[in-house]
Amino acid sequence: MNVPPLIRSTLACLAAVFLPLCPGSAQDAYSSPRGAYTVKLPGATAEKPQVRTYLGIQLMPETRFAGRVGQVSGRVISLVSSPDPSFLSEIPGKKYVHVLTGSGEGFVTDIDQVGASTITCADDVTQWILPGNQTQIRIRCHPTISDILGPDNRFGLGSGQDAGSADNLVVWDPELQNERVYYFHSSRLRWEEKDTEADAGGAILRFPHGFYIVRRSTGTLRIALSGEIGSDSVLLPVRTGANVFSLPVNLSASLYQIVRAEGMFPVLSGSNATSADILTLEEPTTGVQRGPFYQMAHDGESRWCEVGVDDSTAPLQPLDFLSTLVVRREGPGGYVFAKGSLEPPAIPIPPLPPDPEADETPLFAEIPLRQPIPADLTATVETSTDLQTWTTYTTPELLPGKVTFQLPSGQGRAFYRLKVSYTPWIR
Amino acid sequence: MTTLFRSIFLAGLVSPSLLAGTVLITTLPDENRELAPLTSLEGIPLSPGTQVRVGAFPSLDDDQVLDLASQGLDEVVAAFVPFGGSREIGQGADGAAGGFEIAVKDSSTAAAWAGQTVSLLIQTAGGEFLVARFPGKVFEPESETGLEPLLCLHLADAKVIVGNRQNENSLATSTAPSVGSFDTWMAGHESITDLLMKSPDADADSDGRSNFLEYATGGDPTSPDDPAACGITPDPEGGFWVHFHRVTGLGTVRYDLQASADMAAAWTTAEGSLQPDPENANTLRMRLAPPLQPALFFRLNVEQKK
Repeated sequence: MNVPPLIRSTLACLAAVFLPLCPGSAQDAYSSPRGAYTVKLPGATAEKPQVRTYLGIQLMPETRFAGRVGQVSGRVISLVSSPDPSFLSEIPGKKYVHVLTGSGEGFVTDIDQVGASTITCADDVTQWILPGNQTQIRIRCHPTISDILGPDNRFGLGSGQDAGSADNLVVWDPELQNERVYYFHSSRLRWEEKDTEADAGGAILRFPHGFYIVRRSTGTLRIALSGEIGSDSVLLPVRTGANVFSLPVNLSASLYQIVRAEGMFPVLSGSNATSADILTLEEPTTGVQRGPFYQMAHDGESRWCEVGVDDSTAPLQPLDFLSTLVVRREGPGGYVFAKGSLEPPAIPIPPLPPDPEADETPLFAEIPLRQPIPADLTATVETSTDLQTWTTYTTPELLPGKVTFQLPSGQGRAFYRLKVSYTPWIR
Repeated sequence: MTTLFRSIFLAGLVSPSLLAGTVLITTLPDENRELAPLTSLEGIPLSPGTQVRVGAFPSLDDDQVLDLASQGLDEVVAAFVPFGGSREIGQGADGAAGGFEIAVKDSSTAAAWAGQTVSLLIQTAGGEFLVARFPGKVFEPESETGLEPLLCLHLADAKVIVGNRQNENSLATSTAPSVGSFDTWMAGHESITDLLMKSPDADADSDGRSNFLEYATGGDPTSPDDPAACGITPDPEGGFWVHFHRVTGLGTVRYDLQASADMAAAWTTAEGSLQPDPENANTLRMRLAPPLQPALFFRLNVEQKK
């Protein structure tokens, strides 16, 4: 079959901009997979006037830079493949550096300043980043409330004249051991922080912390969370007291697989639950709290324990991808390593029951494009729950700079990619 | 009533604070708390089937709980407001006798424990029980937007109200104490009318034993002729038993058998194991095995732990 030269070159060009290339037919090209989760937020009832759903930032904003670090001096770094990082200044939002390799793998620090040739971080990174092209990093923006829920409250959370009469987005501040409460003001039609008359749509949801929605209005809502798959491992910055964290995507999704119990940056272990970190996992699907768990260390042996349950296998059981981790610590603060992984689980995770509601509002996701798709090429969205097996899902709508498609009804945790194919004419 | 006022009034009625959260209690030892397995009055480690419940005694202080206990377990249970479901000895401790590690959650909207001290009620199948409270630890109301409260507690840090504390690291259940709090016991001796003679340090009957010592050893503060609290009796093997009378179930009372070689030297806690007399749980005894020292003096020190 002869592929006309123009089509062949276009296909190759498209293939080049879809990174990484996935093996397929010679006439197919694939985009990098993205995640799209649909989450149900149950509403309040007479018995439960406030209902909370914990959520994590697991599907990430676009990577702004991925590459190696050249020089390191205190808080200042230079980028190997981008000697002039000033392009980062043109991107709105609070950015952060995420260390991907080396002994500092998982460390996250904000970017305070972007210069003509260097980046100044919020923290001294000497112990986290090796100079001389040895350490890979990723730079992203922290998501904002508007990024997640839309500047116009696109999912229709209950609004009000004050925080106490509206649905809330709550961020737990581990430094202050207190919560920050946001809501959509019904008159000013914007996100505001409780007791503060100012636009809070740009308030950041600082990675890797999680947040929760507290609903006072009735009826189940659905929201869609989408973005790049955040599977990079993370050093969770644990403070004394309570901490709420997002977990990296880990397809094995069990406590045992995700949270490090020994080696560098493990949870604090102890001979009983009062002398160790206490971990609970909040599942958005069921509203169930799993745990409390702790790492018991006694007589030279250590193991995960579920408090009150002998021989518990819960630490080994797969979790909802989007589970949020709450860590409670009595001792001094530190870091705990949480592992991300796209390795397929040994035992396939059962799919989430969609459980659609009647009269659902359709939700959509999008895949960005760096250049338009020529008319002679076909675009198809494929879906997978394990990043191994892909099936055709739908034909997307082509729009400038992106394709959009409707997400399945009900709730789900799935990954999507765009498949672009050349279908030759048969004369 | 205007529409606005009516709606505000209704809002107040339908928005009670949720009382939810988790209380986690352990008896497993760590480097700072070497708590021994919990035992019965006879010293037998508590077994599965012994019920453990977390809850509160709303609006009752420690003395009032002890007074209730002197009336029997049923009175204690009636006053106890449980938090979450009951658990058993051995749970969370791989079934080990005398220990547990539990996490109790309650998401009801009952307001009975709001601000009340976290308490523990342990009941054996045989009717013995132990009541402990965690000073300064209260059931916190869950705020509408805050994190769910989670309390992590160790039984070694609790104040035992009803039960027996053999030593710093040894707790036991008890039958209902024969007396309640000191104040209630003293009030029952109506012949003592002088307020100064009612204090714990006073000796109302001038028998050389303070009122508190009488209280803790089952004595009579109005009679100088009641039996001695302590004694030493020989055993057939050539040793001796040092024994003293106690009132079982007074959880805050500490009994310390002390010894001295000549009463001029410092008194220290007697070396040996203090155990209940198998024939009378109200008697604690320690055996002195031969060969014996030329001379040894004993005294009983009784104090109330606040």
